[in-house]
Amino acid sequence: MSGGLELEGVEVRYGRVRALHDVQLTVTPGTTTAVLGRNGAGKSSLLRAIAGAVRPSGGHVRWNEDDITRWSADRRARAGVGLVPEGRRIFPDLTVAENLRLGGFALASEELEARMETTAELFPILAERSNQPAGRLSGGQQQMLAIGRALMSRPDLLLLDEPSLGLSPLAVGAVYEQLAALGETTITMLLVEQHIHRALDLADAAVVLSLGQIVASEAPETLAADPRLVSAYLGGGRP
Amino acid sequence: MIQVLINGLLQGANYALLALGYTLVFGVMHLLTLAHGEVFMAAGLLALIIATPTTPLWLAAVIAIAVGAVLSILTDFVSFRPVGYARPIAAAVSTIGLAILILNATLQIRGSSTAVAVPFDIPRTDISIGGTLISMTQVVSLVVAIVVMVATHQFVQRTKWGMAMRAFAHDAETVALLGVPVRRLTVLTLGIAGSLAGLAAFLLAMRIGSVSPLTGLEVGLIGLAVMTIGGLGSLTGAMVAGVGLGVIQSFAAYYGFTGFQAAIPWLLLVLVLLVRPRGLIPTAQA
Amino acid sequence: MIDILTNDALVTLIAIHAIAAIGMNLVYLTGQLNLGQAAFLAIGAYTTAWVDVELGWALVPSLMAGAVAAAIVAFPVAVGANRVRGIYLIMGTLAVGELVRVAIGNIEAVGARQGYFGMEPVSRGGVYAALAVVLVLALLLVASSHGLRMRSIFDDEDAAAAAGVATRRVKIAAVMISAAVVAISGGLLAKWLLFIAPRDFGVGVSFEVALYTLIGGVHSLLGALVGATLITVLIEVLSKVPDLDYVPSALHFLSGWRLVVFGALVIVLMPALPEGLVSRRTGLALSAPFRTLRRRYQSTEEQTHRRAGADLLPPANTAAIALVGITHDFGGVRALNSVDFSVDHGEIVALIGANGAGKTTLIDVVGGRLSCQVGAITLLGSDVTHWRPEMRTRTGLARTFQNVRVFAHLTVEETVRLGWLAARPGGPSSSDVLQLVGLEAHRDVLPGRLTLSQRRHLEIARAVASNPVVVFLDEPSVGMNDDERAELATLVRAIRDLGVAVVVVDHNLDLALGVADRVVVLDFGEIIATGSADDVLHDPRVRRAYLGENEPEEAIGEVEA
Repeated sequence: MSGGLELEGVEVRYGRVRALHDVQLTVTPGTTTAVLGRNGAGKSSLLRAIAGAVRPSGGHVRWNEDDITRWSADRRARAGVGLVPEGRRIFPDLTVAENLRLGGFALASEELEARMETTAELFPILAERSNQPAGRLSGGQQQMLAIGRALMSRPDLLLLDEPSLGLSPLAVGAVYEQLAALGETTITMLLVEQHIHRALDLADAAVVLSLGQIVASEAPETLAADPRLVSAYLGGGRP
Repeated sequence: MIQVLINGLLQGANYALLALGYTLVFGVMHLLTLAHGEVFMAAGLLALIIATPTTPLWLAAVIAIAVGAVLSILTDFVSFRPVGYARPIAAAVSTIGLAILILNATLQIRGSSTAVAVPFDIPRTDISIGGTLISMTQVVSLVVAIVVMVATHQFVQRTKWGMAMRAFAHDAETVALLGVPVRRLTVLTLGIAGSLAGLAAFLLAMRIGSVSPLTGLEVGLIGLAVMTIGGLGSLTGAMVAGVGLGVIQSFAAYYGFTGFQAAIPWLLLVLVLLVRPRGLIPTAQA
Repeated sequence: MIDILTNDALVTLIAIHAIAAIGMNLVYLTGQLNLGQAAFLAIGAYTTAWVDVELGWALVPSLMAGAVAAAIVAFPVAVGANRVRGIYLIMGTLAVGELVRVAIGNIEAVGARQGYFGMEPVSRGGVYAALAVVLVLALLLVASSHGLRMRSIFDDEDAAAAAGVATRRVKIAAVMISAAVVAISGGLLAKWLLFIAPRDFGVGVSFEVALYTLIGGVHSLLGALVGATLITVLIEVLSKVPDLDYVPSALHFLSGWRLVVFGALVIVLMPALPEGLVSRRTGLALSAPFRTLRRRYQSTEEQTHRRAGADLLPPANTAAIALVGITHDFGGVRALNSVDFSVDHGEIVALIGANGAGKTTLIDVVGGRLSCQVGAITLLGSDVTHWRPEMRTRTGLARTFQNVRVFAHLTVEETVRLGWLAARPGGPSSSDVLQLVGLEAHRDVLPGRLTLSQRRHLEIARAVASNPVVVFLDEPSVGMNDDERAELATLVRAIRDLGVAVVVVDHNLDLALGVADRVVVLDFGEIIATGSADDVLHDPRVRRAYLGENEPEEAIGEVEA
């Protein structure tokens, strides 16, 4: 198999606390994988280890056949790994357009302008408010901006960390419409989401993390029907 | 009177150029470089040592700016990176070490603490403004300082790299995750700060005819005070506070308050902090 | 030939510097980096010299005069310092240092810029005695309850306030005590040098004093002594190198380059030892012999305190805590919307909600970390809506933090003791609490050596030690496995059995099931369901909020920014 994302025995530690332990994961190019698990299971750590926001203390991360384990975050981003971080993390004092341009920082200027136009078509609401400080957007619009910003550099791999966090049901619907459209393209996605049904509807594959380890890897339909999954989120049973 | 004002503006521009450097570094990286005053001193001193009586003015200026940039970038490699950007106190302490090192190495190499005089001639043409004769060199210096300050401000507000700097100040990790080469960004930030210090040192030499190895500590600290008065991370604040302080000091000297001359920046700092705990122009990040 | 090892003058100078280092240490211990110590050094030096020359005071009273003068000047500085943090604090203190120097340069009575002289010299014995007295007093202070409060602020000011420490007062006191100690060093310096001038008290001196502590290490007074010794030796001894016949002439250049060497040393040292030469762990090892003694003293104190509260009973008919109409906005985004919520004595309530529902905001408003915008909070019948966090803690409201905020440089036992220091009478002693949470075997350990689960237990222990009426636990089970969660459930029941109301704020119902008397569900800052765990588990609104099940029946307008 060529390309794609491959994790082998990845371990992440914060001091004495181990957030990820011996994680093995292979993601087929062009597919969407849902990463499920309760709070503190290590979902964010997994995405951050792939994006380079944390350095794994053990194991290997391979991307398009390169071992990127020791690469810096910005180098990984330029190699096509994009992260939509938890809590959106847009730059509130910069304008919407500036936020997007930062996402396309590595692009040549003509390509950047072309991407700006494509993004404007994809997210009309962002184009409408392009000269406003991003901090004035509503939560849902900020999430759109975070996704649009990550897409500016045309990543081959998009890591999404809780894109529905703190959004009203209506805004969640709009975000997922965008993600569904993205799923039709050749992009590879890794999706962390607490709205499990949303995530499983979208995903081609799903893994469940518990206490820093992958404990299940099954088809989304199988997982969706599994009552244990619901209890893993709401509580009242074993994950 | 106009001469007093011009002197004040020149002195103020000097402070402002230095304070802009502190502000850029602190505004972008949230770190304090206490070696900045010595970078300023060494840039001016080295330029005067390297220059000969035949060196054109512009070349001497370029040397000062280049030395300032190199020494300032050195701060990143010697102090900030080894200690880590997440340890502001340890990083600031390390820059104290660097300041001590630069100052004393300069003194040892020089062999004395006497000032180095400008080896070339400073043009002595005068022009008349409102009946007062003003040195052309001073007018040009002032214009250059103002143009450079405005250009720095525009660079940060308008360009792609300036945009990345503003974003880095808010959330460095996310900037890296978007693919911005953050190591180059910090080098660029320190390089600009050092260049401004080098220019300030050159303008100082043009104004008073020499640079003393001991000027770094004194002027460096005033630059720091100016940054704080202006509001940490605020470029406009640094410029306003720097020029304002220079003019106030100049008029204070003119009216004979010489005993307390050295206290003015600090008095101003304490007063401003009491009224506005986050400086004249507070920024969101500070 | 001067033999450095028996150079009494050098040792005396080290002793004088060591006193200043101790003074610096005492203020930085509260997280306040004072870069204006030259001011207090100068005030001490000039006051001591003046009362000596003009009034003929003896050594001890003249040193005391300097200390008192410095403490008086330090008071407004300390109050001002409390308004600012970080760099603003550093710059403010730098300014004070410069202002005092300039001011003294304009006082003719003490020679203005020309300098001042004529004081009686101090003997070496006098200097050493002063160091001994200052050191013993400082050691007692750091080991005392007050010292514990100071050290907690260094690690985490917010968490210290939550533990009941009156952070403002402790910080102001620290600046004043520090100034007095530094002034004693200044007084001795004046009587040692016999001539002082304003230029002796420049910014460079402030930096040097700060470096004693920053290089030596703040977490042990030994660090101050080591730092002062190292820096003084480096600067003074290297200057004598050419006079020493056993140093080869090839090394004589070191004399001139000594400050360059010093600068380089600082640069090399900071990345390797960011906390300084003497670490907290070394300090702990040194204080180990005194542990039993201290424990015996503290245990007696805690027993007395407990008996004093034996007759206290919770007032009948009032809830442990009651919230009415709590609303909180963050820049236009409504995080809490008119939340009404009360808890009875000895009740266990689980407050659950999906990520971003407003749980932590609610705890922050209740705990006082965020000021209450709309609504009222009543604790044991008294209105605490606008109280400072530490006053709430002392009145019986305790909390833990979502991302576990324990004090990195306090041992397990010290952390629990800190909680106990804010306790209402009648509660368990700190050793009882240690036993309750099962950490007594780790009592002398720093939190860095604990597992995540143990750290959470430690934070809970700190909260319980304050003998609360109600305790809020913010996501205590995150990242725990089944066994650890079962252990936590047992602990929560044990806390309830002490008569404490417990509010477990959590993401899911795991812990709540079988433990909670009542479950309250928060979504978008509003309470959407209340009832037993089973009821809540099957409530369609709850399932929708959590799992995104079903489409919403009605379009809910987005909260506009």
